[in-house]
Amino acid sequence: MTHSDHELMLRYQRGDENAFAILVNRWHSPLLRLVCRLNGFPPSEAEDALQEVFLRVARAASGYQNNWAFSTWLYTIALNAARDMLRRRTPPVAETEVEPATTEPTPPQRASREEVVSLVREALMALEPNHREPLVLKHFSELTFEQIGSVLQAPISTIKSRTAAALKQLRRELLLRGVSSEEFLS
Amino acid sequence: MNCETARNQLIDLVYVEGAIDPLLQQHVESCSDCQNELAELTHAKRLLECFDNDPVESLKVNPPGVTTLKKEVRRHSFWKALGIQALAVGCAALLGAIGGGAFVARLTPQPPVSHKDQKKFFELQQQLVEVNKKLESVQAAAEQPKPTAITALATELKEMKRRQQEAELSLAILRDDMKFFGSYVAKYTGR
Repeated sequence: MTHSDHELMLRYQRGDENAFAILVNRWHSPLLRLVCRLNGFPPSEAEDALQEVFLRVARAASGYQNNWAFSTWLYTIALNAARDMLRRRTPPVAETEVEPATTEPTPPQRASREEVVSLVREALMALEPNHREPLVLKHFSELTFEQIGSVLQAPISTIKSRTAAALKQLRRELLLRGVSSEEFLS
Repeated sequence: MNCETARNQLIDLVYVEGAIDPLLQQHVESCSDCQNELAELTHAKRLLECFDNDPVESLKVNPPGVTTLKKEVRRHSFWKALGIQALAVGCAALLGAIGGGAFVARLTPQPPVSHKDQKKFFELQQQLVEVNKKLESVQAAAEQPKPTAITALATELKEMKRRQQEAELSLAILRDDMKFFGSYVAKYTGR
């Protein structure tokens, strides 16, 4: 019998630690994806990041209320944790201009799949946080625009326009880094 | 639908959630600018799909620390419980202090009615006697057939009555005080 997240959370509030372990098992992959994509963490740092997220969830558990949607509550905590982690990880530095690629990448120069992933991650991190967050929540966490609106506390129309702006900016950032979508998507 | 409205909704065609607005679809099919805009968004979305093979997607992180989390959670619960207990103990101590203070205060004999009060009591009693005497004389005088003096006497009588009432009231208060003091002393001294 599968218990709902909400039910497990209420059980955990009553002191059932196994209920929390089930929640951790159930949610660790989606949250791992969220934190890594939002912060550009390499997998080696993923475990620590995930642990911090779940610790926060455990600490905030007593404040969880019956009428809340569990996933929205969870993503809100994870997002706040990710923001804090990012702040701690990268001291604020002056933005550096990326020199536009002067030549089209030719087949011999074509970046390997791994390099492309690294460049996309870099481009994603170059986005403004208020653009990156809705895009990551939409694309990687597959939340609805309404859910994203609840997590980020913004109207749906704002979320939609920010997501669209993030996509456009992402493409520009990649072109600046010499990555042509047609090139490696073909 | 115009281009501006359509562009604000193009994201609905990139990330489809339920039914798509037919007006938007119609507009995009007939507008090359919006088609280009949509293509740009779709390309960008496809770029993100390169992550599908990224290690994070396939990373099998063993619930990194259910054991550690449990310890942390227990530690958190312990401190939380400790905090609640400390709060409860603090409240109990405060209530105890208040209750104890009130009990001690109750046991401590109040200062007796002072000698000054007793003196005042006798003074008031004397005043009352005098007032009563005067009142009687005023009443007797009022009964005399002296029409010119009647008004003045009546006023004086009225004033006398007022003063009598005041004196009686003060006396009653003082009597009550002394009665209470007497019973109090008897209770705590056995006398």
